[in-house]
Amino acid sequence: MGTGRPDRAEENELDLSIIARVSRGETSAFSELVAKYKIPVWSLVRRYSWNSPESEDICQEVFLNLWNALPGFKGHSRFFTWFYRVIINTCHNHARKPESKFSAINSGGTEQLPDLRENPLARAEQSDLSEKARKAIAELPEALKDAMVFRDVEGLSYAEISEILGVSEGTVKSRIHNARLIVGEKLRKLL
Amino acid sequence: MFCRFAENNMSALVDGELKGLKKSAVMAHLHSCPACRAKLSYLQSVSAASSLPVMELPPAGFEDRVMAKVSLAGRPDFAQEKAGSPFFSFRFAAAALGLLLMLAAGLAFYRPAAVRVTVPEATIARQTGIDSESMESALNSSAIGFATLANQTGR
Repeated sequence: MGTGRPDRAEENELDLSIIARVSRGETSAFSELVAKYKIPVWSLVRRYSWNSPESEDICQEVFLNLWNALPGFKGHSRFFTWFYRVIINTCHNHARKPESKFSAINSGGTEQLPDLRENPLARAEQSDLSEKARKAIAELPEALKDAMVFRDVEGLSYAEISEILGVSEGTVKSRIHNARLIVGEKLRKLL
Repeated sequence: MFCRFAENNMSALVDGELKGLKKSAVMAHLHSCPACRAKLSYLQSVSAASSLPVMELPPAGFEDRVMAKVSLAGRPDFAQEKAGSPFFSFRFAAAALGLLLMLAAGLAFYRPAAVRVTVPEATIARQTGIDSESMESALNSSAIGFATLANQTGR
């Protein structure tokens, strides 16, 4: 997970060996998965929930869901691809709860796409920009947010995103494009 | 017109996902279109802003709290999942084999039923010139009834 993934095949082998140990009864091996993925999961959940005070609860729920779902992992896809689905499903389910404090707009909104204009972001301070970009991403409709987070935050290829989300690469392409237009417009207003 | 095509492919270009002729066409257009170059720069800056890393770590003790919850949740049933799969495969294979055997037996014993076409006597008499009495006698005298009639009528 994350953009700095050196060798995904190697990482997958490592993940599979940990899962094999967990399945043989070595429960403590699961803590290795938690240690390995806690930062990427935290980062991803924070992108979804932005500044929600529920971020830690959601992250804990992600790992609990992973724990419960682990026997169902058959190794038909790479572990990280499967785990991403667990993460986004947890985030989506949480956002749909009525008591959720997610700021997300969610549920496939039909926002107007803005016109592209001269680059309005060049002058912004980076840290401020990062925070505002996170907020703008968190407010995207679910489908667009998934695609954009996986691309811009996680650095996944269109093929990988297509596999995780179960949509065509063409759909991934257009979702990412539309998400960027909306985020750009929000940033332009916020800055 | 071409600006629209270029714009639709710009994010893919930013992401290095545009290949071949499409990429060449968009690049050529960008070379000659300042407005599209500005749009490309805009999308690049949005992508850069969105991919800025989150400089945060999970709160202290996060891992311990997760493991405490995991312990409380109890161990999921790995054994059932593992046993379930081959059992399902065996049942599936057995069912498939059974179906194949039934199909093979059905094909081996299958004999097409004789098609008996009952034509009203009046129609036969009109078409063949054989009156109903002759027909009845022919039918009665012949063990193959319909076959004889069929020979006579050519039907």
